[in-house]
Amino acid sequence: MANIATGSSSFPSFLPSKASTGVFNKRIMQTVSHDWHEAVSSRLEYLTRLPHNWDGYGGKPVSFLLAHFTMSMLSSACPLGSSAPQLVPGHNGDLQAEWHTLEYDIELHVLAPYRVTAVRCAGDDVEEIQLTNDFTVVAEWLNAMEVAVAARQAAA
Amino acid sequence: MSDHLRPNHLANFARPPLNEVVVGVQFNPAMGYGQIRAGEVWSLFKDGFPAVEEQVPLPPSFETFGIPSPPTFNFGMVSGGQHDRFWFLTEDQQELIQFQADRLLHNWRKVPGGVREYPRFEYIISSFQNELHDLETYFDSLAPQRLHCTQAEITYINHIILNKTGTGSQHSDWVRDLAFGRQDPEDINCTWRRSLHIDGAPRARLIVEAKTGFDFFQQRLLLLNITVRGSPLRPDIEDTIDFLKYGREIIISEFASMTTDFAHGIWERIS
Amino acid sequence: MPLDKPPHDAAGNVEVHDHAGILADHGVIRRISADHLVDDEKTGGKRVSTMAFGASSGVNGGMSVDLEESIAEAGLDPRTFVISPPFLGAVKFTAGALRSQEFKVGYDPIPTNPHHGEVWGNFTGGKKKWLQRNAEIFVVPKA
Repeated sequence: MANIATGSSSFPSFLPSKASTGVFNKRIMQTVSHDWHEAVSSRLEYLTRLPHNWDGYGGKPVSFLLAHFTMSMLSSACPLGSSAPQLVPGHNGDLQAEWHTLEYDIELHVLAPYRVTAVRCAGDDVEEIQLTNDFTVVAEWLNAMEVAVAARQAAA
Repeated sequence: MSDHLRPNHLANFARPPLNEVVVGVQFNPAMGYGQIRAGEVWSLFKDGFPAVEEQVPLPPSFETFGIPSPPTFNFGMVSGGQHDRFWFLTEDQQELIQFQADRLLHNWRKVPGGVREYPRFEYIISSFQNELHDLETYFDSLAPQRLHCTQAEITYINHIILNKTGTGSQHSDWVRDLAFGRQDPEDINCTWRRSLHIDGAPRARLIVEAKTGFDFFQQRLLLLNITVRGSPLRPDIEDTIDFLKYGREIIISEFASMTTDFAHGIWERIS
Repeated sequence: MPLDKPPHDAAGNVEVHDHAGILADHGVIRRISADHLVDDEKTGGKRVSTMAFGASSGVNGGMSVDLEESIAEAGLDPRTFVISPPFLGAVKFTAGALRSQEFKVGYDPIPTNPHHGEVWGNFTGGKKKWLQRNAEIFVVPKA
């Protein structure tokens, strides 16, 4: 938003961080609605700070850019009430968000911003699609997963 | 470079309430570049933009689509040393180039005492295209590479002075969607968003922000910011420029549609 | 018997190959970090994510592995060799099992690891699932 007092504008709008000359900066922006938000944020932060060679084969930490994209992706993919994703780092600075229930395995491999391989397994059936910015199908998968879990629990 | 001619079908105003226009791209950080080289980037633009300021960097931004109206999902991140955002300014401070390791933006803005009229989008986009090419050529000199643009954004920032009394004193006198019933609020602060589809696929978002504020002269204002943000079809400069032109058309069309006939009269609508 | 030197391209990178000296019953070990472990309702506890199995993005990049026979022939204990810090575990395949999935198993010694190998192939979701399901725990990963 335009800063009326100075006539300058920032692009886009956000709360300013502390002075950028410090070693560490904490930037907190906007609001959350999933109850697992904090845990996922912490996990992402941890993955961006993995040491080089964390996997013994020269593995890189998850990039800051990728972490941000993953948060955007999850906000578009996860219906309210859906279970928390598990986040697993990859060798190349990539990462995967995954869910595993009795009925389904859902994995979103984020190779780069706007390059996601989405896989859903139900038993031996494997469905694999390439996604860029639209995660509607993942939301449908997660809905189906939660419905299956709820049905199973209700029957128990 | 492509010609940048104003499309005839776009609404046109002789005196629009425009206060600032920003065009910008986000790109993958370039190989071989580090903040120590920021001065070299400034030297690309220094002739026209001799002043420099440092600002806090902008966080990465991505428009994704899926569940309708998802919550904006951001998070606190503690990180190591970061690349500042540099402002390279013209002498009169009416134009600036914003640069950080993963962003380049070009702003035109009204400033107190500024004499230059709004130079029109065609000038801004032409300048920006040249700046992107200059930056790409520079990055290519560090290591063979092309700019890989992940997102582009265009924003029109409007300052609509609200009259003290009578017609023009209410938000809805200017923007149709801001009718609040019998009594106009003292102040408002709202945002609404809409997905934009190209060839049937979601490609971008239109974001409208409306907020009451005050200007330098303590005049009550309605700030109306209209943004189109999304990813170009291909991550190269040409497609990014095309995306920004598309965004501009959407913004102008939306602006004309959401504002009232009264407003258009004040702003002297030409077409 | 030491493995023959692998083929290299003009730039000196190891070329994709299937090494004849790595026999079908030879062990191919993949190191596993605690960060690779996920909860799975089906197993009722932790198991290895498919993300533990994938190719690197470098030139002729494959999935890095350690070759069990090579380690043992050097007089070292493979279980101890592969869990040098920061690793907490490892899984194992046989070369023959990997080849049954159309992977190639090659030899790629590097300065920091003379027993380093590569597994090349198409790491689709289905293939990674196969790798995850058929990985034999070699050193138990600790969460």
